[in-house]
Amino acid sequence: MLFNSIDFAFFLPIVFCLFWMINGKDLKYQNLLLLASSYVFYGWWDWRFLSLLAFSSGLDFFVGSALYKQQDEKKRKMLFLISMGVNLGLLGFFKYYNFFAESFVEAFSFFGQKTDLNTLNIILPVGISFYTFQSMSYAIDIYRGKLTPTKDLIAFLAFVSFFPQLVAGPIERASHLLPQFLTKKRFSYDMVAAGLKIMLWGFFMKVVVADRLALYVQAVYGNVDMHTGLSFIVATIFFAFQIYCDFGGYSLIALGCARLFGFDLMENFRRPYFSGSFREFWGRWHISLSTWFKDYLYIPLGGNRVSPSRNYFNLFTTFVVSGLWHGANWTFVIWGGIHGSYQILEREFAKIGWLKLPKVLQVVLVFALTCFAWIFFRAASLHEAMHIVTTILTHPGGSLYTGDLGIFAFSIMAILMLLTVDYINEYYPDFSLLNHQVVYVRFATIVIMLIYIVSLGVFDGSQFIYFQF
Amino acid sequence: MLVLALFAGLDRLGGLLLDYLRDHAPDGRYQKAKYTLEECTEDVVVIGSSRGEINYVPRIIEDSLGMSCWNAGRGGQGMPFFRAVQEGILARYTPKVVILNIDDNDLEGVPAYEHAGFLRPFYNTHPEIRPVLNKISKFEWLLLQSRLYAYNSSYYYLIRPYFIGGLDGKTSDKGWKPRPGTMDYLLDKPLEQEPPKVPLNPEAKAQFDVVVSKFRERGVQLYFVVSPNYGRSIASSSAIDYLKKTSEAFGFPLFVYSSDTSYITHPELYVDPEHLNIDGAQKFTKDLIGKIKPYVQSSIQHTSHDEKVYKVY
Repeated sequence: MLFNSIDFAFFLPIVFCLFWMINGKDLKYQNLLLLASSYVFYGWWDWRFLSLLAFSSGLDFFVGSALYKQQDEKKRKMLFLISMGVNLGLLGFFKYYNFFAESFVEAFSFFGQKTDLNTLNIILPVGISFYTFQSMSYAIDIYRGKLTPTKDLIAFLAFVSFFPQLVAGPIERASHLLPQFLTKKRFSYDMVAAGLKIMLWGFFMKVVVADRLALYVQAVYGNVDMHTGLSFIVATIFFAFQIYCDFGGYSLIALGCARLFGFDLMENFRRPYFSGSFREFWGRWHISLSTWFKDYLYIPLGGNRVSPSRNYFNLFTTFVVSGLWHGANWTFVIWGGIHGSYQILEREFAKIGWLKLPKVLQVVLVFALTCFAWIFFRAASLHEAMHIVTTILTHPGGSLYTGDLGIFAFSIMAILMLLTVDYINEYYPDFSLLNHQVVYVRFATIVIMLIYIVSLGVFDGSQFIYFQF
Repeated sequence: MLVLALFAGLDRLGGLLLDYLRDHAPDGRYQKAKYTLEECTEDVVVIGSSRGEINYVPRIIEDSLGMSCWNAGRGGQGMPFFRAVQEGILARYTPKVVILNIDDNDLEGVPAYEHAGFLRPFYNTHPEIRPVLNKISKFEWLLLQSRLYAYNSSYYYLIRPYFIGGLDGKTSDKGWKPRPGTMDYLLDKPLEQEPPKVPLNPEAKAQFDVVVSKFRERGVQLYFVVSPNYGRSIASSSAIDYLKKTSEAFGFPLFVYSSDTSYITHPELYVDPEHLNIDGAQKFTKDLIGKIKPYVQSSIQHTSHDEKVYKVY
């Protein structure tokens, strides 16, 4: 079920009413309702994959309990490896089997060896990367002795499958979200109003900005032979905002939706394009994933408590793996590698004082280099990405493809509105029209946003980009 | 609740304003759509997508056949729009002749119902087009209770004719959208030969069959035309093969220009590889109508399609 679908517009109020109607009774009923609702939400897409979700989370529940009870280090390690192996095995099979099979065959062909390895017609289960990572973190934290396992299976299953963040995050840690399933909720008008306002801005980002920009981006990136360097530059800048608003918007809807039920999810995006460095960028972009990789990959590799060269290796590896997490394509690996390189170069330049630029120039530079990396993220293949990069570098000008002028004009408008709001939130955080103390201002803002969404949102059922990850 | 009530009120108010802008536009795509659905009574109607709208000159058709003509083509459209236009027209009258422009790769993809969303502003006042628009999404009927939603994203084209006239063709052009200029790129493009055949999409095919059968039931003389593209020679495709079959089955003539070298190798006739410029459209329309004319004249003497012998060009 998509957040921007009518199905969800019916689903959410029903679940909301039922949830608060059974409030005050045993907590188990509320969790059971959330679990059932989450499975309906997920099964709406393809009910067959519910078994995968149940199996993956069920396994980590039982492994978590066994890990906690087990004193023998060898057996603990064995249990831990079972959990990791099954989770990563399922993720690897559903998401990466064809990619590795094709890459394997291509590598052998390069050396003159013909190898036949059949690819499979595999459906990628929606959100598998997200819920697998969330479930894995539970087992890892128990193995490390940082978390006590829960005995409440229903609460745990509800935690892994919690529908607001099931298919595209934020990737929550058990230590933050799981206790919330074990605490009684208290209905509050302010809480619900705050949740709805967060959702409203999320929908605005998604349907007014992201989906609008997607139309132009698709027209250019979907037909790379026909466009000039200037059009590629514009389409890439548009894509930078599209993916931010697509994923950032989704995260906000998830956050607001969870708030309606009294849950508090972590912030996932914090105005990333106002970053003055790549280190800062990754502290503002997809925060739940960045911190996941930091805690479960970068630090276990040694983090920065090693030699500089080893530290750079750790950084680079973390970003390459993060790239691969985003998709089974070399374009994502290169994208991750570029960001890993940015981090390394940034640290080297900082040592010799090359980065003492005015803040605004730093922001522009980071944005430009981020856009360069987005080319690889968005292009359908490495060949197309290289074609775009070459065209931009050798012929940066040329005529600008505007496509449908209406779409183009509304795209520019959408970006300007987003930047204005992000600028205000960044530098004047106390000023908020949506939360203004004068009730008329608040109401007028909400009504204007609703009118804008209905009038200029794109409602043709487009998928959230991050569903594929 | 107060917010929702306020929104509903503004939605109605905004809708009234937008309806006014739609109904009083001096020209443009909404004026053309309104004319097609509510006013046109021409003998000859051209239905098609952008190539229908750009390649056919009603004045030439009128002068040649001595019948009135309206070009109901609209860019970016496909079979769902053709169906909606058909329903809109047949709900009021029966044209004598309909020229249906079909692209050589039409009927291969899933019908893009969402493109027909262009007609959403007419949903409430035209029940005959609702079945088509309802297929855009399962809750389209519900969404269209909002008047602002009906005009979603249309403002630029709704307001533009009030400031710049004639960009979608003047009213005197009778639906034709003349495209001035000449293509100045891809001139050295090698002639693209027959692409591999793609199976027809069953839904698109079914929609096409409905278009044909409804016109047939009403005794309309239907002409299928596949207009030319620059640099592409397509004599046969799944869609063309199916058009031939339909043409032979029902006696509706088919004219295939997509492999005609007097067009596909002449860049001076095009404004872009898929659309003829003014000179190209005039030459094409004269050429086509010269071929159609004998059929139209003979049909004046014969009332049944079955009595005539049709040739597939």
